Amino acid sequence: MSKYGCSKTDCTVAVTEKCLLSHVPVESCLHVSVTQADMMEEKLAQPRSAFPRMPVYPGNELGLKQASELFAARYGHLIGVLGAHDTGKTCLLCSLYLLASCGDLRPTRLFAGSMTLPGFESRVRLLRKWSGTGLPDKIVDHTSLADPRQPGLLHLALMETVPVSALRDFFFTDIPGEWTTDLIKRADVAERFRFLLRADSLVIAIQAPQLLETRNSQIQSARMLLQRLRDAVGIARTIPVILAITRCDVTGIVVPPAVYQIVEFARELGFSNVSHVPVASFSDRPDVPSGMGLASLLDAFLPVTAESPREADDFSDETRMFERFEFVPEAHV
Amino acid sequence: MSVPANIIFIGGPSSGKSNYLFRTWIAIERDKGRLVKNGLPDDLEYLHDGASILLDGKFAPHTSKDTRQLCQIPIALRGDPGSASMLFVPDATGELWLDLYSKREWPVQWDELVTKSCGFVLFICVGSPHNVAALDWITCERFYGSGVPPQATGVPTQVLLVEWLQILLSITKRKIGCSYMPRLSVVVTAWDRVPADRRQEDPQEYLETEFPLLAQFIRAGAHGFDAKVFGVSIVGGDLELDPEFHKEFMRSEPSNLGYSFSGTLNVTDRRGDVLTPIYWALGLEA
Repeated sequence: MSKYGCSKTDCTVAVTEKCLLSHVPVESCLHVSVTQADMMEEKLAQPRSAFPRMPVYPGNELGLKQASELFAARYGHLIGVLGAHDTGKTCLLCSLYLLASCGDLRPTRLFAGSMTLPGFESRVRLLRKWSGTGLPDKIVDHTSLADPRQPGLLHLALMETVPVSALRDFFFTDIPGEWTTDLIKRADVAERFRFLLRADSLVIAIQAPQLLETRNSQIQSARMLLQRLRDAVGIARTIPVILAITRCDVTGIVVPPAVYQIVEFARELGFSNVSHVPVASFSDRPDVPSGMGLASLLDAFLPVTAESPREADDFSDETRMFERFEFVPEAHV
Repeated sequence: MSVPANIIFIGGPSSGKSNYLFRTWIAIERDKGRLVKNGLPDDLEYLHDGASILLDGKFAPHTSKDTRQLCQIPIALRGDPGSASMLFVPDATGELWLDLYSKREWPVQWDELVTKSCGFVLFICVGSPHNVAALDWITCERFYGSGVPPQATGVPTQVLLVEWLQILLSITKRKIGCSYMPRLSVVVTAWDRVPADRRQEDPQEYLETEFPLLAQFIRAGAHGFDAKVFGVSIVGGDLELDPEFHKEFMRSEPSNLGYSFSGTLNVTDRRGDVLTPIYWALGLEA
């Protein structure tokens, strides 16, 4: 008999020491308990001066199964954040976190929690960078603080205070830019994006200065990405697709005209809810505030239109999680 | 009735946990509040030594990194002998809480205390040199521009405070279930050090300006705790920085000094009883 027990009826952790939800170590599962008798034995086995401790959730980023557990508890808005390397995806998330952290989303939005608070904090401090080599080719669960940065999800809960009080759980993808460029080049990479069939919104980050300097190739890349998302990944064409035009402080908040061509192409592909938002995550200019555009981005995630079928009530407990979309993707194409 | 009896004090180094514990013991020992002693603890050394330092007009020094105390205080509700119970309060260095954030390790001994009879008290000390300010936009703009991460600062205090609460809630859910809502007192200690023009504020307002992440987290109300914010001064003044108050303290009955309160000026519940955060955490006050 092992020292573990579990509140989930199907879990055999007490016998197998394997968590039903695949947590490693199993103590990190919210449902698993360690029996007191064994705790005492462990305590006695420790040197007298030791102060035995047990692990808690890592907090850096979430894997799909970990996010699914949270989705099961309450509805979560999955936001796919795509874009090539150095387009400002991480900056955008850090800026959003800093807005919440400093209270700059008040009074209409309040920070209400984050299961990846250390993950945000280390990213803001530029302490959690991609290792560059050996990155997993899919999102895996994160079990240890010592894990290097891996593709995953960052969680941010915001309480909207107007027009009525409403809790919104956002789960932002944190994936390397190489994934986006790989998807443009090869259709077989689409498999790793399959979890995005559950997405509530997509953000495609494009640098404003690059749209001015290398306009034609940027438009081409954006067109290819949108077509891949529709044809190879099978993204629902009804979800909001938002072009985040980053580094707009550099261009003086001028939105490059090329943006409108990309928006038009997305609509031609059938995406019915396409918009663009100029963003300055961290501004170099005194006349452009840092965090500019982030509140509009949040607004764009939650469109209140009759065309948007993806409201929380549309999902049963089962379909709120990822598994359904992994096994029956065509249901939402 | 039987008094629910586990209290876990949460806070970093020099946040006021130990001094509040010693002041709590003085209040219980002198029968000053709704909780009174029901005999003396078998092992009184830690509480007695700490209370003696406080009674001699000094704040207790920083708790040693090796300190791992589980204080057991026999208590009862005033006027209700049938309520006799034992109050368990672990006290340890704030570095243990820093480890909870950075190493993601939780003491097994404390895990055993997380039951339906467990309340939590979170400590934030006004003006503590250990408080780390949150990153501000100017700092971020500077280092995002240069690409050089800031080296000198640690994790902001407000981030630690929120993360500790989130971890504690995950532990509570694991041990008791998702529907259980534990009591939480958020205590702003050393309230006497708040600038005079802000001393009449609601402690929640103080958090809104000084620790906005924590303040929002509390106010949003999605944290899973039944929470209330208090301001506390354990002796009613500053024994270290105010020599006049120190003299007054040494002439007075210490158990009559100090206060705790919650709410705004108009509805302030400022009373001499410093134990109101304990009452709230134990569910003794609605």
